[in-house]
Formats: sequence, C-alpha cells, structure tokens
Amino acid sequence: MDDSSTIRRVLCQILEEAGHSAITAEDGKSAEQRTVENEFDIALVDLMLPDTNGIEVLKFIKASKPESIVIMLSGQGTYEVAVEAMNNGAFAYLKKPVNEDEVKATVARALERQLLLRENRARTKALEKANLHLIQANAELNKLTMMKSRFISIVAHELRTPLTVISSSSDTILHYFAELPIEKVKNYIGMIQDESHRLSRMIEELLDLSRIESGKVEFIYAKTDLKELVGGIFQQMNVVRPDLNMVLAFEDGTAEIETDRDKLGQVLLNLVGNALKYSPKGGRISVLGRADGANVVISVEDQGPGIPKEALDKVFEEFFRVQGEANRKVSGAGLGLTITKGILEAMGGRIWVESEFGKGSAFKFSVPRLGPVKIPEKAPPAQVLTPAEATGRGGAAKA
Amino acid sequence: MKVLIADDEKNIISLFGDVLEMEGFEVVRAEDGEECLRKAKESKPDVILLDVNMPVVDGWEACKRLKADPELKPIPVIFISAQSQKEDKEKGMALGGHDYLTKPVDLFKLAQYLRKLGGVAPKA
Repeated sequence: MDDSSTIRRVLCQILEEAGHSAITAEDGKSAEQRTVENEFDIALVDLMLPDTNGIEVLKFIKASKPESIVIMLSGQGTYEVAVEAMNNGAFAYLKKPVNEDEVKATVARALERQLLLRENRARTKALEKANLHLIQANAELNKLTMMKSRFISIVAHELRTPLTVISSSSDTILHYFAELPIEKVKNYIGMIQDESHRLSRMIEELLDLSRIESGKVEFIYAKTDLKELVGGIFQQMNVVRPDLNMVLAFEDGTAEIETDRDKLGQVLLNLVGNALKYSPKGGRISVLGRADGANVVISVEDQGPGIPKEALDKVFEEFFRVQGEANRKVSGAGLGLTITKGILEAMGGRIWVESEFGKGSAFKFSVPRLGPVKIPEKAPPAQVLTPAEATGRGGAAKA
Repeated sequence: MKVLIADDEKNIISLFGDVLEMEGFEVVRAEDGEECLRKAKESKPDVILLDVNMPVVDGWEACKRLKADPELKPIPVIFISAQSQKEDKEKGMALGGHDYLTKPVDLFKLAQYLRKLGGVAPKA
C-alpha cells in the first residue's frame, strides 16, 4: 500500500522475483477495501498515504486480520514513528528508498514468523482439545474409582459374613470341646463346610466377573442345539427338584444357532437355576424360544414369588438380592445375574426381566443366531473412548 | 441377663445364640428389624445385638425406632455388622448405638463385654 505507483511497481517486482504474489492499494480507503476483500499473509504499508495515516491502516489490518503481518514503509523515518508503529503491532519498519535485499529478507523473516505463529496456534488448539478430553477422561476415571471402592466395600461385607460363621463355629468347637454334644459339633462343622463353599463360590464368581469386565473372555462359536443344551440342564435340575414341571418350547428353526456353547450354557444354567431356587413345590419352569430378526429371544419363566417393581432394574447389579420373606431361604452371592448380563452383552446380546410381584418372573435374553456381530469394515471416525467403552466390548471385538 | 440378637443370617443367629446361652445368658432371637422391635417390646432385654443389613426393617431403622420408644430407649444397642467403614460406625453411634462391633467378633470376648456392661459377675 503506497500512493506512489513507482514504489508499488518496484515492490511488486521484488516480491514476485522472490516467488510471492502481490495486490496493491494506492490510498487508505482502497487499502481497507483490499484488506477486507483479500486473503494475504503480509502487508507492506506506507506511513504517508494521501487520505490517512499509515498507522490507522496498520490498526485496521490488525483488527480485521489478526494473523497477518504488517511491515511499515516510510521516507521520513523518525524514531518516534517507528516506535508507534511497533507498538501497534507492526512487524518491521523499512526506510525508503527500499533496498531490494532488505525487503526480501524482511518478508522472508515475516513469513517464517507467521508460520511459527500459525503452528503455535494450531498446537494450542490441539492442546486445548486434548486437555478437554483429559478432563472428561479424568472425571470418568474418578467415577470408576468411586464405583470400584464401593464395590470393594460390598465384597468385604459379603466375604465377612461366611467368615464370621466359620471363625465363630471353630472357636466354639475348640472352646467347649469337652462339653459339647457330638450332634452340636457335627452341626457346627456342617456350618463351616457350607460357608466355605459359599466363600469359594463367591471367589469363583468374582473372578468370572472380573474376566468379563476386562474383556478377557474368549468366545468360541460353533453350531449349537439349544433344545439339547436346555434339555441337559433340565436333567441336572430334575435330580435336585423332581417335583418341578419343566417345559421346553422353541419356534421352528430357532433352536439351531451358532454361538459359544459353554458360555450360553452358563447363562441358561444360571437362569434356570434361579428359576428353580424360587419355584414353589410342583411349580412350572418354562424355557421358550422365538425368532426376533437376526436374534433368538429366550425366555426363562418361573412361578416363584416374582420381583417387586422397585427392584426390577436392580437385579442385574452386583450383589443385589431381593429382600424379603420369600428370599430368605435362598442362598447366593448375588453375582450370578451380573455375570450372565456381562456374558450376553459381550456376545452382542442383552437381557431384561419381566415380573409381576406374587406371580412369577420371566428372564428374557436375546442373542445373535449367526455367531458374533460383524465389526464394520471401515474404522469409525477417531474418537476418545471412555474407559467403559474401551473395556466393555473387548470380548466381542476379539471374537 | 437377657440378650436380644437380631441378624438375618440363620447360621450367625444360631452360633451367637448357642455360645451366649452356654455362657449363661438368656437369649431372644430375631431374623429381621421388625421382629427385633416386636421381641424387644415383648421380652424387655437388657441389651440388643443388632445387625445392620437386614430385610424388611434394617438395623439403622430398627435402632431409630428403638430410640424413639421411651420404654425401649434405655436398652443399650450394640451394632454387630460386617460393614466396617468409618462412616458406618459413625452413623451407628449417631443413631444412639452404645457401641459398633465389626464381624467377625470373638464370641467369648463378647460375652465378657456383655457381662461387664450388665454388671454381671464373670462365669465361674
């Protein structure tokens, strides 16, 4: 920007020689117009323009294009003017008549500076974004830590109860050894056995749960006949409860699926086992299968006491047990359904429960009929996974 | 000396009851908070051993109701729970508990403790 056409021409020549392209303006008004209309990296601004002061043009450019670099030109170079220009954001101050090498060198320095500024800005932006992700991830971790410590305190409570019986029984036997009738001693040893079994079952379940939650469970898919699988479970159950009436019904073609036989067997054993535990004498347990798109939906139904409405969404939580009279005689660590849910979700299925208090429960789950859910070919756009997402689907992804 | 034990674990009730009876106490048993309140009123025990995690009415609620009843209020309530967090102990004491013990407990020490509490001479 210079009012002298000669200077404009000379400068354009120098700049074009150095591989740059240039646009020109001859006064303050056109300088402002060009600033708004064009994209540019560097502006060379004469201090003396016919209609305005170069400092005003400098301020205008800095306000509307903060990333551009402004180099001032002047014939009457006084120290004060140079300082004023620099204070208003000028990058350099060149004296007229301009020296070709000086112009080239200054422009090159200016471009380098601008590149650095842009990189810096991009990095700052990236850092801010990364920081935001870190803050979110941190909040997620804090939540998980709290859940974990809550979980550990529940585990401690659950382990202490059988431990109390074991330690008190053995203390009692030792303390009253001479005077206790043999029947009582037998009774106490029976308690120690029961509670030891309860402890080891609980430990097994905890390990199962931890393997599922960390996605370390491998699934092996093979053709499986669900009728045969459930039939085998019914046979086992019939030994324990011959009084129960067990019904098995699958819609045509829904019993033959491709799945992990052992894992699905564990799911069915848990659900049928629960149904059995809560079944009244002579009650009926039904396992029904029907197709639902690419899935099979299996319903395990009992005629037990049912689940109160307020407990329905909690039955899959760790250690949750329905409280009340009907539940008192039923033993369990309270992890079975949590594990079942974990297995099904890792296989791409889900589980839910329908129950009317006093009329029995139906635990229903869906599972793909044709093996593991295929992972899409194209990778989804990059995104920060929450820890739960990162671990929760590991099993399915691996299979 | 009469002791009321409230716990939903049958094995625990049976053991604690047996030992305290052999140690010379009269024992009343309750399997949940509600039964505990009813039996406290009926049998007027000298001390109540109260579990926290119980069905129907839990130990916290049972203690609250015991302390709200002028007739039952003076009976010392000793929480015996598998919950060992500091906050649980503080909650028990704030609800008017006389003490808060964590399971497992040494039943013979417990018997000594109860005798001292009731001013009963040690077992010969």
